[in-house]
Amino acid sequence: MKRLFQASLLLLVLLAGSTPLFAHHGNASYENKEVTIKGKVTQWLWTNPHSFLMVDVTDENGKIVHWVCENQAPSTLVNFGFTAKTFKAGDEVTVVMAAVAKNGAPVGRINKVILASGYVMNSEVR
Amino acid sequence: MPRRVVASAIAIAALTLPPVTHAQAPAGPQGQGRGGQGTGTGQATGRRGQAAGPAPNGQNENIHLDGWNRKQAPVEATGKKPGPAPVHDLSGIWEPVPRYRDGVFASGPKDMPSDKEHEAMMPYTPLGKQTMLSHKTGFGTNIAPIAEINDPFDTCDPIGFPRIILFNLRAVQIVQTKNQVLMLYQNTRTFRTIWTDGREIPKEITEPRWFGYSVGKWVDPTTLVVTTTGLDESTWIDNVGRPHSDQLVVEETYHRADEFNIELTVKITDPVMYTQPWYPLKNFRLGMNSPDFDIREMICAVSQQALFNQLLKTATDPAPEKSEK
Repeated sequence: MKRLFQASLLLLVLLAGSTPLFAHHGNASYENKEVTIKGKVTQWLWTNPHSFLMVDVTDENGKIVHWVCENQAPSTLVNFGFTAKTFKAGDEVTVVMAAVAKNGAPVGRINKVILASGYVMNSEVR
Repeated sequence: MPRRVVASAIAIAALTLPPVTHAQAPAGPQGQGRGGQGTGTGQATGRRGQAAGPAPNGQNENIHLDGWNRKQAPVEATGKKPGPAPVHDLSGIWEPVPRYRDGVFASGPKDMPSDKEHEAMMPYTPLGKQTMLSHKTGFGTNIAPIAEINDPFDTCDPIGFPRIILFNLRAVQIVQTKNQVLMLYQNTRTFRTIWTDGREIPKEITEPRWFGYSVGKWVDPTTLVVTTTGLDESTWIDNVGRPHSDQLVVEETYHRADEFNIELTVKITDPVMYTQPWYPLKNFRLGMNSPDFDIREMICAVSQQALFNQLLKTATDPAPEKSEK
């Protein structure tokens, strides 16, 4: 019954045209690079100043990478239809990030999340 | 090792917050979305409590909701024509227009952002320049990695004045009494009292305050000029680290342009830090919202901020395993 979730790091690289307008903390640690990951939600933190989607991604060698995916503040995300209950642990998601940590750490800023159904949850402020 | 840091951060998160136990399918466009497409304000969206799953291959939209998740828009955007400005009256629920996020000002206030061009225009005194450079920020010319940022607001110190109007200026409800104008801000859910009873600013400030001492005077039927002094020196003027001393005087001019619009101009005077006054905002527009607009909470919670700092610190570690080659 324990079906191993085949998650994989899909794409790297693609210069992003714009980054979400995150306030408070800045961009010094990020570089604008579109990165897409596919994995399983471990936690959805509906917190200020920004929210976080924690996603476990299993690479081709079976190694699990714990991604920290930063999203907008709840007060902004509600306008995109997100709520504190949008995700639960175990949900399969594809996360498209517009920027990732310069140092290679598995940390990035969310542009959109694609649910297992194919429904797209954008959160990029333009 | 970064993975260990992330793992411990997740552990902190797990201890800090209860696990999510219920899935909430986001509203999709096929009958599961908002409660309609009417043009009125205060309309329930129907997003909450939807039992149906998301529509495959659909995508969400960006629609402004108030604190009760009701679709909202500035009154003028609903097609109503503004009447003339009422006399001596700023009361109402206001937000930046045309877009409600136009007052975020992450990279500095609209008329003096912190970029190369504008920093060259800033009239710093030598001390002002030195103090400015000592501020490590998340945005602007002093941008620094998260671990080095020394922004007092990053630990949820009170945002203070004038930063409350120069960073994340979101919804603000203005309430007038016979003797006061009260500003109730969405950001950090704080308020200011502006005395309009004719008193003068205190001659001597014995107790500096995060939000200072404010008096307001109607200089014409539709323009209120607010003067504020006695400000705590530990705050920053804006999100990009502009400094101030205890000599700071802030002048806000609220001009009620018409029934639905206010224009806000802010003047900064501080002879210790600046050789001359400067204007972070000039005629910045606030639009009136529907009177049933509920202002959403936007609170800096110490525990959440600590979690945030911890999680993102991973991105600043110098030699993560992943990047080693």
